Amino acid sequence: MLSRFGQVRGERGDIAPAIWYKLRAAELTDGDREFVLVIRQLGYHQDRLEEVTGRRAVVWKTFFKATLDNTDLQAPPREQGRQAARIFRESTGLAKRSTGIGRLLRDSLRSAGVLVIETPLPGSGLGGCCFYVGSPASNGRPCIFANTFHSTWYRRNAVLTHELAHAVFDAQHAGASLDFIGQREDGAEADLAEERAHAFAQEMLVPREVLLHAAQACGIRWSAMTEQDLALMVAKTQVELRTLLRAAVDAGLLEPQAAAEHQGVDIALALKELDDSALSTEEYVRKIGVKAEEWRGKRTTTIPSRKVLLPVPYVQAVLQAVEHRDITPSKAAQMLMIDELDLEKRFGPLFCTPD
Amino acid sequence: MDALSPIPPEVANPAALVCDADALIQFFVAKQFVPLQVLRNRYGVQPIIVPEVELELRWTRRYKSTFVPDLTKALATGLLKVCDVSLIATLGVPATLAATAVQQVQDLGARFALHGGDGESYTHATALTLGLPALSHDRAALDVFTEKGLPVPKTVLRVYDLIVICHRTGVLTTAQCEAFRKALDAANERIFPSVFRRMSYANAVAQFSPRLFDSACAPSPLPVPETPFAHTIVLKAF
Repeated sequence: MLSRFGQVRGERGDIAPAIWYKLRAAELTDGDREFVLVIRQLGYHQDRLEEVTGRRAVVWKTFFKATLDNTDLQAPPREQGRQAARIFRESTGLAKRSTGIGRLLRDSLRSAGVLVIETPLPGSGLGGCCFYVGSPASNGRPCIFANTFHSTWYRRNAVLTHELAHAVFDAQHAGASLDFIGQREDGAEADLAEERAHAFAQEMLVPREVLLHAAQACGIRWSAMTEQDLALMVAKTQVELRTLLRAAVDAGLLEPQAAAEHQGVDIALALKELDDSALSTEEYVRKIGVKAEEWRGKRTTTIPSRKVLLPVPYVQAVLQAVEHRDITPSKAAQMLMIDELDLEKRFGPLFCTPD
Repeated sequence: MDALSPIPPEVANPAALVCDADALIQFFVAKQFVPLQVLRNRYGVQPIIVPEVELELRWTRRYKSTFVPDLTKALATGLLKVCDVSLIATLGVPATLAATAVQQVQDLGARFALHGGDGESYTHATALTLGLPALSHDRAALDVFTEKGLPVPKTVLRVYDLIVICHRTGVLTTAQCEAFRKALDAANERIFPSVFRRMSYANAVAQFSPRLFDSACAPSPLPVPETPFAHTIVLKAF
């Protein structure tokens, strides 16, 4: 296509963008490929939206640079990940808290200028991905994505921080980083980038001091943890049980065998009692009532071949931009990936066009 | 501008009219292409579209690819032309400057496209760069562009400007204009100005302030433009 315009000539290696190589991966289905493109499109729209509304932040560049400059890239990958996470926590101010950062993570990244997208991709094997919107050399921005389909909020905290590591270390050169559900993040099968990203996510979310603080605050003894204790620790640290247990083993607080036994414990019910973040969408909608009902059927895209459920804050930001006359209704439709007719049907009163 | 001073009419017919998809679609929906033919054949004003609008006309979620046969025919017969370097060179822009003009359209269009849809953005960018009027129904877009300090074309016509000039010059009968109105209504198209939605063509036209006149029946003085994009154009028939 590019050569058609006479801009570039040559072989595939000369004209194919970096992401093309990623999209050739055998584990990707056609659906996955389409989803990746839709997510990239969404990242692009979100970037444009923030630009026109004057909310485009670039602090991430400072954070990323500080992290890269102070990480020993000759160290083993896990050590690199841990070092980088500690620096990142320090630079963003997240290290000031000795409790879990799951609830602060998204806002903290967004205010630094990282695009964070979470949406369900039914039937897709894609767990998360990371890419740059635009060229990093010019004015590009990192965008991280987590698939919310059949995934808990606690799990997604780990996915997002894992993708953040790829954004810091890999995505600028790789075009994109794609992670699949069930993919090994550590051990023999993992490559350097995955192992580093895995260690980064764990250290970002549950460093030793957070584990110790949470256990102390809950009056928990590591050697005798009950189902309720495990649920309490997950709620406090805001990470999934698997990551929590792995971190406890790495920190020398738990024996690997005990961790393996705890891994099989079902804490779902106990956790729902403790934390709203453990509720499924339907349960949450039932709990908060009519407010969530307002959004039913208003977030689904209709233009791309793969329908995507857009995040509520994104839809709200687009509508607000129309109200503030930052963008036209056509632009809003484009950003919401729907037809103008759908836009009018869904949000009619906003779009009473004058004569 | 002083509200009482008469507005000098445009003396020369513009070489072209840059059409946006939302307005053009209404001619396709009603299968009424006479106004476009009149513009081209009687006044020498070539209706043109930007490539982004061509794409929008080729597939819409609402009408799917319904317009493709008529669009293909219109492009083949020259009733509509897609704006490119060679076309710009025929619109009075010196051939040596045509490529520069295209670049300007791209640059300005990209600025518009931050706030607006692709079709409307490049339509207005083309009209502004080439000093041509535009045909568009997106009043909301014009308001946003104006509010953001972006320039807008002096004259942005509506579909009914073309219908009314055809009616006043006797090319279309009142019945044909009413049939056009009803066709849009039946298709649930957005009708601008809304007066044509609320009443019959015969009654609505009396309340309509056209922005396009034939020199034989232009009022004097011309109406004062209510907005920066409502300047009147007087066309002289060949």
